[in-house]
Amino acid sequence: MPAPDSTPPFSAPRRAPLVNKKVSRRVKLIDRAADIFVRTSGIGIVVIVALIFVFIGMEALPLFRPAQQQQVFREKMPGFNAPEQVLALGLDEYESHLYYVDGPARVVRFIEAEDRAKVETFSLATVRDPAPQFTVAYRTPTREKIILGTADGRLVIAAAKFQVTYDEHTGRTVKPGLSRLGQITAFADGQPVRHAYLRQNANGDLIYAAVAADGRIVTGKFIEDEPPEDPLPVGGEISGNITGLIVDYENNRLFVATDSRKLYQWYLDYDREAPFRVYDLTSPVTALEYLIGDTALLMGFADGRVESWFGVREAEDDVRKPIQLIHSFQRLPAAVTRIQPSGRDKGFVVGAADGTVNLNFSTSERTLLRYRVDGPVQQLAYSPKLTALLALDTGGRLDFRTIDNPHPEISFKALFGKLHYEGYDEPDYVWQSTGGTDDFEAKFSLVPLIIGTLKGAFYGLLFAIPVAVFAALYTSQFMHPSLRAFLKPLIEIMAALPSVVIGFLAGLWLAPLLEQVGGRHAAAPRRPLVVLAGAVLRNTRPAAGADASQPGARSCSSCRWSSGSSLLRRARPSSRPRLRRRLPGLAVRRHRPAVRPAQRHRRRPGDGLRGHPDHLHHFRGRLLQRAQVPALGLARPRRQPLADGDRV
Amino acid sequence: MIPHLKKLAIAAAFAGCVSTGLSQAAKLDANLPEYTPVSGISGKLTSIGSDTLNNLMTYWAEDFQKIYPNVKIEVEGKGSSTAPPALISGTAQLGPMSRKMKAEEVDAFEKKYGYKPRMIGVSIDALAVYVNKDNPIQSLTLQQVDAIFSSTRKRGGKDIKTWGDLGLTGEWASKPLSLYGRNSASGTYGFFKELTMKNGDYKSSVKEQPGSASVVQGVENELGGVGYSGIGYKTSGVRALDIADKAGPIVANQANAESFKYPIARYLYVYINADPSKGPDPIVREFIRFVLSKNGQDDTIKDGYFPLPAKKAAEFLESSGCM
Repeated sequence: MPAPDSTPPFSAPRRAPLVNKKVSRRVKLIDRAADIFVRTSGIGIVVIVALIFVFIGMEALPLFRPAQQQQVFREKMPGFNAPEQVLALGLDEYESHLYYVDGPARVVRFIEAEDRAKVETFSLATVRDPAPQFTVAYRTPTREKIILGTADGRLVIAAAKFQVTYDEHTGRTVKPGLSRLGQITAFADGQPVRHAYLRQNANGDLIYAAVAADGRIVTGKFIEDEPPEDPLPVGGEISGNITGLIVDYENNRLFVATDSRKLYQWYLDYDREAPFRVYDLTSPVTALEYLIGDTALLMGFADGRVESWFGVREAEDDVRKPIQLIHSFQRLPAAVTRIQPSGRDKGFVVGAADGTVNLNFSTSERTLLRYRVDGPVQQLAYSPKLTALLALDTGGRLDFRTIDNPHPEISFKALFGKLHYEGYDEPDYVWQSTGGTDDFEAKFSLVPLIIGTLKGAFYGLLFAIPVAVFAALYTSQFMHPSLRAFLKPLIEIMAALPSVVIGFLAGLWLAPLLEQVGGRHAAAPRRPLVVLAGAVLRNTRPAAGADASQPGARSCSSCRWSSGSSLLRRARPSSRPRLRRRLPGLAVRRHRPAVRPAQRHRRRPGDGLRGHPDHLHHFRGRLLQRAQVPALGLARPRRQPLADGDRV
Repeated sequence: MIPHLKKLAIAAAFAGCVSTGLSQAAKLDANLPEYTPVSGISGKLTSIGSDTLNNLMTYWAEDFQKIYPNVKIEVEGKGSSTAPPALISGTAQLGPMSRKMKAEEVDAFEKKYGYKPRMIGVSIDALAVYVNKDNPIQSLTLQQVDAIFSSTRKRGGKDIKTWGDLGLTGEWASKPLSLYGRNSASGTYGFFKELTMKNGDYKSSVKEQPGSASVVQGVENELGGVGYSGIGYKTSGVRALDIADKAGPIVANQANAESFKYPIARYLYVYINADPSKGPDPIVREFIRFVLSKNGQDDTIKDGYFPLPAKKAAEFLESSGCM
């Protein structure tokens, strides 16, 4: 807010020595009270502002608190015989039950987390269709859907259900259940299924991919309550044994990793017959997964490396994007055995053959937690609310931990660094804090906000500085003191208005108004230039009615003329003669007849108190309009600028 | 002469399509139940949430208060993201949202109350891409919409900066697109991001408006403007484009929205807080019953949205426990 700090015409009077002792005591008391009041208020404001900062700091501090974990139990899993028997492991959102697919027994067992002796078993084989042994199973990170591959080339799709009932006294009860959604014949010749993968899109349709023992690959779509479509084969030469396959929820992008250090990429919508790209890797992939959102690939390698890759355009209009290494995470001491992505954010858990478990966050490349379980990690489960981690080692020991990790996405680099976000072709500073769904990658770079703020301030200043400086000049040198006496404190008080509110009004109310008036892009950047140009023009043109020999602005001290007369007007009648004596210009003029038009602009030495033709008010032509005002300026109506008319 | 004729022809073509668009007023499903008032309903309801649903909630509130003069309803709509905090803190009993709650929001609610909020579909919206009424373009593919609004272009295709990139000729060819959108508190912002740009990111040149009405107003005032908002905010100064998928351009009308053939159709929701052991408050229950009745669904047409089919309305009524 430009507070025009003019040369004060009415400077604060110095405190005069007090004469009356009686008054002095009272005034002293009031003075003391005011002093104390102002001091305490000032100190109070400083303290309160400091407290606000403390409060904001306390609110922001948890953002930087590291993740915490606490072991709840570690014990042998009920019903465990051999590592190969457990095909998939899960945990419900209330962490009330953990469950696993028992392949040879063809059942899913639900174990109560509180009391592990309570086990409920649900069979996956129906009476009508007794499926043979299950060879593989995969559980989706969200919504507890399970796909199972059988030893005779079939796929079974099931869902773990948790029915929640409420009671006023006992609270929430969770009752587990299992529903078998359908069955698909993936390999009609009865080859056993080696790998199976499952995704669910926003409509609830399930997309699956499976590999037979002889390396054939199929993918397909499964819609609940509809007769299943036949899966479609995928073509292409593949070298080595397949160690992992993933397909995205659009049934389009398929990746297959083999033990011969190759990774194959298909775009199934374009070409099912041959891979779009084949990548050579330095180490075989031992664990392959999609990060939530099905854009970034997570790869765990036999040498313990954990990496995230995703597609980057080669040409501007590329739809099919070859992938490249984007993020590398803390290396594990042994081969990666398992990757379990979170169902809710860009975090994921990795397990290694030496029992190390790492909780990573993709966007910031951070490792948030690291701990060890007793044996090689065989299965991992990350609870849907991201508050518990379950690990099963090959010895059948379950390790259950609660996790407190409320802000994994925040780090110094995430706030101020350049990060490579999913879908971007290069690292960038981006602020996009929200999306419509959980699989959105939040981008919290403060850099665009800071630069935007500075930019806004800079353009604002371009506009404000000339306006403020000229306003200050005008107020101090040209403005009528009675108006100034009112405006100056007003502007000073306005400085106390919260600028946020003013800015908000300007943005929402004033800006659209100006847009309609002056054209959107035209006015704003030119405004300061226009002001400058105006000033230059005004200073170079001969002033209206001025002597051509005296161009340009003259010292404004001569404007005392108006101060003088207004002083006069305000003064008590009795003191007028004295004042007039002190202001000789006035006194002289009093006895002079009205100026004739021919004399109007003639200048004489000692004419300093006369009006100045090159002042703005002269330029407006008031002079002529008010020439007929009678002699002494005293009878003039108030509120009118005086300077010009006084020459009469 | 010839350009004039051309302009006339184009104008005629528009007049044709505008009139057909308007003549297809949405129809109410005859099987929707008539609302039957019950006795003893009084009190205060507050609704905080979606801006898309703001006018519709006001219509419902007015009509509901006509039936129950002792009921007072306040409606505030600044964006869907304001609904969950209001429901959680208890400042609102109704949380209108133009998208589904995110898992995180459901969690926060559940943390406080021990149960999940209930979701009720109340209307169908064909989220529309608006252009100025003088713009000759007819339809856009989802890929084009993505390339117009997103910096990530997950659907592929070249970046679209001018109307010429979309195939317009003449003076339009070099005219730049001026993008209007919602702010991040909006459910429409998130929904549009998810459906058209596959959760990509908006360009930084999108002018983020605090409400749907200002999006439409922006497009109305600027010849090269393009923006997205609920179909209920359509004015005479803008035109809703057909959105093309693989099968060709699809008009944003009732049939296409109801069948979700229109690629960016969606349900609009109201979330409520209902203790499962007690059921919803009587006043909330009656409000939801009213909204899902013939009387309530009639208001959706009045506001420019599409009513629910009777079957869907019954489903939502049952799942909400407001029977």
